Amino acid sequence: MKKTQVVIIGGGVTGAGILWDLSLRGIHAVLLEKKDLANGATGRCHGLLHSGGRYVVKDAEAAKECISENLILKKIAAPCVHDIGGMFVHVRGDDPQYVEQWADGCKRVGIPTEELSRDQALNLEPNLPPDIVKAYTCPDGHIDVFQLTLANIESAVSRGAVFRAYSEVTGIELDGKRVTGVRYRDSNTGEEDSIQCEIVINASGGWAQQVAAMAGVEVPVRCDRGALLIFNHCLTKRVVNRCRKPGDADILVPCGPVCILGTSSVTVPGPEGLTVPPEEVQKLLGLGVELIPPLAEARLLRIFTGARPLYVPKSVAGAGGREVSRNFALLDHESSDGITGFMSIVGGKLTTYRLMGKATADLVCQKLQINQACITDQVPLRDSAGAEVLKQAQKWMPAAAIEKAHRRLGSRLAMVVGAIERDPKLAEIVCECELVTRSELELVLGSSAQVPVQTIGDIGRRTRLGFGPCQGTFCGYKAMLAGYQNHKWSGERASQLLETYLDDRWKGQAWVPDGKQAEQLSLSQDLFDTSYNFHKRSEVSHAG
Amino acid sequence: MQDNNLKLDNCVKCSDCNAACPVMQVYPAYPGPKALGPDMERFRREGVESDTEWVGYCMGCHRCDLACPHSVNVSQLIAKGKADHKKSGRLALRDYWLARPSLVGKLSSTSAVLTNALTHFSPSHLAMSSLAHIAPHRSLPNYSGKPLRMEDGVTAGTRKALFFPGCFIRYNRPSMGRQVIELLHRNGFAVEVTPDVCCGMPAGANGDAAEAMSCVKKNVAAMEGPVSAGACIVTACTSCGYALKGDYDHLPSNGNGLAAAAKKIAGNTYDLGQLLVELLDAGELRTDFQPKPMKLAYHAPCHLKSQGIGRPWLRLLRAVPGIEIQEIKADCCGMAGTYGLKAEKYQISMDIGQQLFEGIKAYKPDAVVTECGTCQMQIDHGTGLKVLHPAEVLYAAYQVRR
Amino acid sequence: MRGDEFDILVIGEGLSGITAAAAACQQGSRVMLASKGPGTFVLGTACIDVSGLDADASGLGTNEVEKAISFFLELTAAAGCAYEGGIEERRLVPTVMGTFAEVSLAPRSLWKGDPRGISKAVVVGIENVFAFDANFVAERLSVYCEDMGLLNSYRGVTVRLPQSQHQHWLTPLEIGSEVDRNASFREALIAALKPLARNADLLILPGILGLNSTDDDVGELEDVIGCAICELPTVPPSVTGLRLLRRLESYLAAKGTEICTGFSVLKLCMKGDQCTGAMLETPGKPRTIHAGSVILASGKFSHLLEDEAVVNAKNVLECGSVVGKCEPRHGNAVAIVSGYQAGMLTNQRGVQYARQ
Repeated sequence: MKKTQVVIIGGGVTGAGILWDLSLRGIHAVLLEKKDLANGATGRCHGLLHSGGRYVVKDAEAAKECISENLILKKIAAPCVHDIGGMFVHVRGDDPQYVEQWADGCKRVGIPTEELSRDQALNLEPNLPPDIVKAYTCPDGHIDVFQLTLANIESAVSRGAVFRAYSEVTGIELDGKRVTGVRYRDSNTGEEDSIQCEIVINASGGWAQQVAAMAGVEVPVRCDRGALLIFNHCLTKRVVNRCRKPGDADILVPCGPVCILGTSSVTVPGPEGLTVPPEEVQKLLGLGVELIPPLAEARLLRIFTGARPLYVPKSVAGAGGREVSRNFALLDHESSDGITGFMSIVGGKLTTYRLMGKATADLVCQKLQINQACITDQVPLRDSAGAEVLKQAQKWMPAAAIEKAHRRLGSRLAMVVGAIERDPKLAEIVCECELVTRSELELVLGSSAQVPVQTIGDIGRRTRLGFGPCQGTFCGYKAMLAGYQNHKWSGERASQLLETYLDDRWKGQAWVPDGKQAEQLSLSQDLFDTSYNFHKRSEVSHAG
Repeated sequence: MQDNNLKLDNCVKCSDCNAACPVMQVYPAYPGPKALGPDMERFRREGVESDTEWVGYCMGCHRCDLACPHSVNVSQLIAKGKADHKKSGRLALRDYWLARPSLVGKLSSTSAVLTNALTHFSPSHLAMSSLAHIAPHRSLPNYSGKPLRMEDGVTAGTRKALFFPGCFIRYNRPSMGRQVIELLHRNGFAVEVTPDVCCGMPAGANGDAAEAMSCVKKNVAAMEGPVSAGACIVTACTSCGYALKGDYDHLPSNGNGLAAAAKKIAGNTYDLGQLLVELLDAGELRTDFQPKPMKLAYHAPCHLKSQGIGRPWLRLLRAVPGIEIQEIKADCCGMAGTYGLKAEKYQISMDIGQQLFEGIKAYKPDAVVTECGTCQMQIDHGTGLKVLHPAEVLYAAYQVRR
Repeated sequence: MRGDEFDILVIGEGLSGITAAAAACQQGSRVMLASKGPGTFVLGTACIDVSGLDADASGLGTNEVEKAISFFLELTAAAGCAYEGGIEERRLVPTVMGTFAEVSLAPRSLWKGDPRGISKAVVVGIENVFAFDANFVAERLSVYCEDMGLLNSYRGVTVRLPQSQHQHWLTPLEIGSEVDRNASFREALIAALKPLARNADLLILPGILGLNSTDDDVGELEDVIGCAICELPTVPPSVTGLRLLRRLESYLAAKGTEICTGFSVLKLCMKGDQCTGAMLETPGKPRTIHAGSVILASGKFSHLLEDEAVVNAKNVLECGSVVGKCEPRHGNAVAIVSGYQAGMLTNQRGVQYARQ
């Protein structure tokens, strides 16, 4: 790929959204991402599809955007969205005035809510504290961040766009003060290459400043770290929010068969090398228990963290992480810095990624003098599988597997089922915690996959394999074999990948403070040491 | 959400439960206890449609529970799936009746001669089997015209026993039940017989949670009084024993006192062998046995193993001069109560029992003893040998003259 | 003795508990082995690495290690699940990752897998068993051999075994069960492997040769097939681990040990500074086991040592990972040595075990 119109840097949901929007307007673009999709904030958040309730008191504009996008995403990305609804709960002792303002705010902004008495709320969610004051329903949901990002990229690629993962941008080429292209390095081969283009879009989130510096431009992004705790099973049926001024550990989101509690807000120097100190974990747990008391006994599977990229223009440079607006900023570096063909899109949140894409694509059209309007609010990203495919699937897969695969694959479930019909052994379940079949694995690994897989972690993001209690110890091995059998990886590469994958999975679990996950880790460790025998190359003694 | 006893979070996916499951070993399509138990529960809590007919293939043998190093109550998790499973058609109708052996027993015993004729006369047996999806190869047990009644109890005695015979002994082998009463009486017990309410295990096993709860309530109400008055509950069927000790011990508490009352029942239940061996150890069991030279093969029912009381009958029968008795090592006989009666499960049942049948035949015993009524049926069917309840052997050794 | 009275109660059915029970039993004591589920050795390869044990912070003397290992070799041989190897020996055993692990002792079948001394090995996969890829294992083993300057060749071959038409995939567990129960299946297995044996001096299989097989059974199969067989422990549930457990349990039971697996220990019963036994969490009400001495082999996550009284009791000994940490590769060795010592020592009642 030597020449294109637009290069987008950053394969999070924002970059992916821009790619899709541009492709619908007939503009050719290449998206470069240094790791796998959703490596930054996109892949390290709750996956909450906001109703806007969280912002309704302090930032009505942001809230309006949220509810509007919420409804659009439920339409265009239907299979990726788990429309479970949400609740805002008035926990006894919290400020009742805020709750009133909240309810009023929702009315004004247009977020549909219904007031629930304590008993009604407890009936719907038995794990709430028994002494809550009241609660409100709201149209929160859960969205699979990887599938959403993937859907945008795949849909764009099917319209001629290009996506390259594991391709780190090393430089932006300029002819004087005009962008002419980018240089990048393939992290697998180490080879460098370059692409000519007219426009470069910096959609790299927490890395925005580093990328902007390649064009000699400053983009003030502050990295703000949030920690998230994943629990082994769902304790609620819907999203549960604490109805008070946004703070730590006030949201619990069901996320497939696990649930995620978050989050915190700590300024960090950059988006990488993040760790979560034990005190922070204890603090989050303590707060979480106030919202959902049974969290105290629930098994903590994993702790992960990511950096929110907050746009901090000089005027609000002194503000704390949550006070900085969660609105986004589109920076046209031609007008602000005199660099033609370079723009940065920063800030924002998952729920409004499409708007960020729209604003950016609008500006691109303006620059390229193309007169095409945005239609991403109308064109579906993923179609649902038809009733017939779902019925066909029943012959081969358990009900739970069908539902989960459908959410991941949408209409491509037909391909998975078709492959099983031709070769029934592909119905074997490889990851039991997320019910991933061999057929789905092969689809993801196969050449027809528009966004190729390069590591076992990549497989995990596309299928949720390894997201359950064993955290990939059993299924990671099988995924490796699938890659090997599909001629994706040599034996050596496959082994290395498994070791890297399991090391990665180890990190988040090793942070878990108490004994519960320790037993799982101990089992994993035994396997690594014996049946897998990693890390050891034997020295032969020619005796014996 | 009631999780105290289920221990869902303890599961580390080690598959020790799958390794212990007899069904998995003979029927590869069966998803197994890990998938139907803890995995399925996570999906239920996720809100994913997870009903599957496979839950009906779980035998309820509890081997998964015993094998789990982390105390996950696997079989109870699967039972939740059974309770949720929607059945229809003839299988649903069949399972409705299989869930109610007390009702079937009452009806059959009032017309015992006719019932037994129908079940033994080939054409009608075949017709019934095919209509009701009962395994045609099985011969169904005889019903007695004189089932065990409360009147069969004896009032004289220094200690009090409340005999819970269970539906099989009550309706199919009441004479054996009377022998149990006599055994207890001989050893100083006044014996009261419980009213005819099923323990509830067949209902639970067939997914009828409401019927199971109804049995629990009636039994607790009937047994509370005698237990408070110092009676110990005695079961001679190991499945009834497990039901009273295990299932009744962990009812979700609804604030109506039922759970606490049921727990008291559980804490005062003894398996007959368990009770008698305690007497033996205390030197209080009558040991005036006549020599009974017999070679006996012993099979330990799964629900005996899950009670955790060892093999009391091995010790008891070894106290009878002349008896040579060995336990035949096997995982499970395969009958699993009503399970093996079902046409679609018959082959699984027989494949599982194969190890036991072969082991028994290789031992060449005069007879086989086992405490569970349906194990008795299965061993009879699989070996053609005479199968007795160990209490019958002990009774014969006492040479009781009535 | 009464029903629930024993000389020694061993808690935990791992390698340390089993060794302890066997040692105590051999000395003539009446032993009960109680456990909630099997030990972790069932999940792994159950190999033993003794090298460097004295340098590890475990304080076990060479003499003690020798005696314990010697006992363990006798035990496993008598139980029909023999180990090979010794304190001074080192062998390379293959794994399902296609690596070699260097160990001092291993189950007989695995011990045969050392690449030195064989020239042509065939790694045999089973069609429709997805989680064992013969090509992968063969390829990796070849690479490691080359690294070590060995001239072996490994090739991967897949054989087909009988399956019912409704069954689209197989697992090692199911195959193991078929091998136990079904003579014609065994015949088919032999027929599939015989041709491969003609041109090889070792067949490497995933663990499938029966859950209840003894060494003699496996030996017979090898004789008929005409080649040595190395069975690799697979990712759990691993047939080899289960077989080892069943053989050891069977042996202990035959020697008179009462085995009660499936119930947690609620607590240890104390009377003054003596432990009088334990309460098992059985349905209905707990079952009290009375014992003259108690051996805790309950694993590293056991809560039983949280009670000070238990820790100080003169007649409670600990062994295995409940005692403390050592290098992971020494875990099984420490388990066996400390288990043996505990079993021998409890027979001299009143002796306090010197904890590491």
